[in-house]
Amino acid sequence: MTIAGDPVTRPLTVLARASWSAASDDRPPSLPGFTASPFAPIIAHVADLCLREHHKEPPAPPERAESTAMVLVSQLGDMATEAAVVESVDKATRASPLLFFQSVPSAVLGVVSARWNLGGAVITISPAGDPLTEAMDLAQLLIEDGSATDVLLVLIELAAREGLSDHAEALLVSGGEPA
Amino acid sequence: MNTVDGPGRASRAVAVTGMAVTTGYGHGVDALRQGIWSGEPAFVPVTRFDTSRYAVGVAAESPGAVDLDSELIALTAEALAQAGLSESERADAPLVMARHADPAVSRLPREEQESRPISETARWLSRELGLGGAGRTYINACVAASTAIAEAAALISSGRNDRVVVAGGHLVDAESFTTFNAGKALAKDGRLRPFSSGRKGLLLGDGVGAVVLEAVDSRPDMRPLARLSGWGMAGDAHHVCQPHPQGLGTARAITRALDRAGLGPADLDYVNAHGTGTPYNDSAETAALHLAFGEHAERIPVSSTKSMHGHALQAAGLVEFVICVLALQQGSLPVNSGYLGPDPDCRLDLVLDSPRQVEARHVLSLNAAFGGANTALVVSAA
Repeated sequence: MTIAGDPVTRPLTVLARASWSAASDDRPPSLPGFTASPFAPIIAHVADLCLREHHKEPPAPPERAESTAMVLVSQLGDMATEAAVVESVDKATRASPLLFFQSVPSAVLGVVSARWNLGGAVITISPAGDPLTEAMDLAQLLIEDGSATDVLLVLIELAAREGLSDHAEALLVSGGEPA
Repeated sequence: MNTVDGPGRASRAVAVTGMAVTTGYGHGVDALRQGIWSGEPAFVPVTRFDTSRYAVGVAAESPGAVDLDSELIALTAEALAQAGLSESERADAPLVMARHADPAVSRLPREEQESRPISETARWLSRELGLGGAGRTYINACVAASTAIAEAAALISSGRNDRVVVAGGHLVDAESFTTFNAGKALAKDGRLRPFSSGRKGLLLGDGVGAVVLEAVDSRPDMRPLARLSGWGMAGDAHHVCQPHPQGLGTARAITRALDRAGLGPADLDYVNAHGTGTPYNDSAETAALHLAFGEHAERIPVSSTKSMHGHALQAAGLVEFVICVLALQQGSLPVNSGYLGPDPDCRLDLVLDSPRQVEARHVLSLNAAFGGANTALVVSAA
């Protein structure tokens, strides 16, 4: 499968794709060291599903792993962790030490990269436009720029209101030919 | 100016043509220059909120009432004015941002938060200043600004854009104090002592700023302040919050940045280190410098200016990038303040006691973040 990016550049090849939704899927496995928010467990789970589809078992092969970048994409970020921090401030209660680590939305990428030995750039963005389009555009730039050969994209949004569900999607893309 | 960058990849050289910043020393590049080259840290008792429940009550808080949006728009306008961009050139330049989620949004009713994405600031800023639209907003903590700068460089180098504006900001607030206090990361002795024996941790600092990056020779009346000649990003593949003890990710980022710049360690005149003053970071960063530089590791001058302006988190890379440009312009390297004595795990040529007079040609700015993210930017004399 290919998805066209900028018309002057080569299209990206989607090597693997996985998705997860609270509306239809089982809860992701809990993630030791993270609390108060489903953000990190969902990311670790959907990234794992995607990487297993292509690489089968961790770690990724060394010839691909070192130049595999990770891009986490979220418009609102980890609203649950932010809410926990703000509550601690407003109520003057002691914050969990775990909130220190996970207040950084990209912290969970340390779990994914350690498990799969991915040594490329570790990036987290809030896109101004369509998340998938922005994610693919950034992946294409990283690959064309020589900053990565493969890019793991993880798109996640926590439910912002009643009627919505937490959901995430992961894609492993490459500038090369389909493997 | 075009160069060949790796097999078959033509790239355009990147110039820095405008920059503006607010730090604990106050508003403006001149305030930062005077403060940093005085060697006096900007740490003061925090007055912005009650710190009585935290282990530490000081930070590099800028004087007076400071509002992030007001500073962002004022500083970005200043950087654009320094670059001398026309209305049409501004309209051609996208804005890439670095910031954290706004705590004020978290206090809104849940149903209202959906319409307030983190990228909202970039959209507003671009619209108000007549720029070419909002690009991506980087939220990857302490490498957010440096990654945004690297993306801007890639956009220009690849020919996608002739110019890109990068803006970012972090103001010391109760939310960051709460999380850093919970993580026992703040220096209880009230000093940030990078690479020093007896270092206790970090201190936070204000940082808001903007830089204008352009393709060299993309317009006739350009006045470059410096060149961004290399950038590299890499992951540690190690841990959620601890750096790789051998500095593997940082070393890879350095090597990638130097390769892109067409330079070797012997060409570097200074390293502005991430240097947070935490035991873990500074020893891992030292290991990375030894891994990347080999026999040159103990002869390249190093300092972490966080020892004076504090850790500006999402804006750290922007503040330290500006300091690198100033070091090239000044012919002088800023000090690594707060030093008590040598740590055997931090064998480096630290700039101690007073600024060192060096007519630097190429300097390196390093940053690292939770998740194992590392960035390296090579800044070269114009």
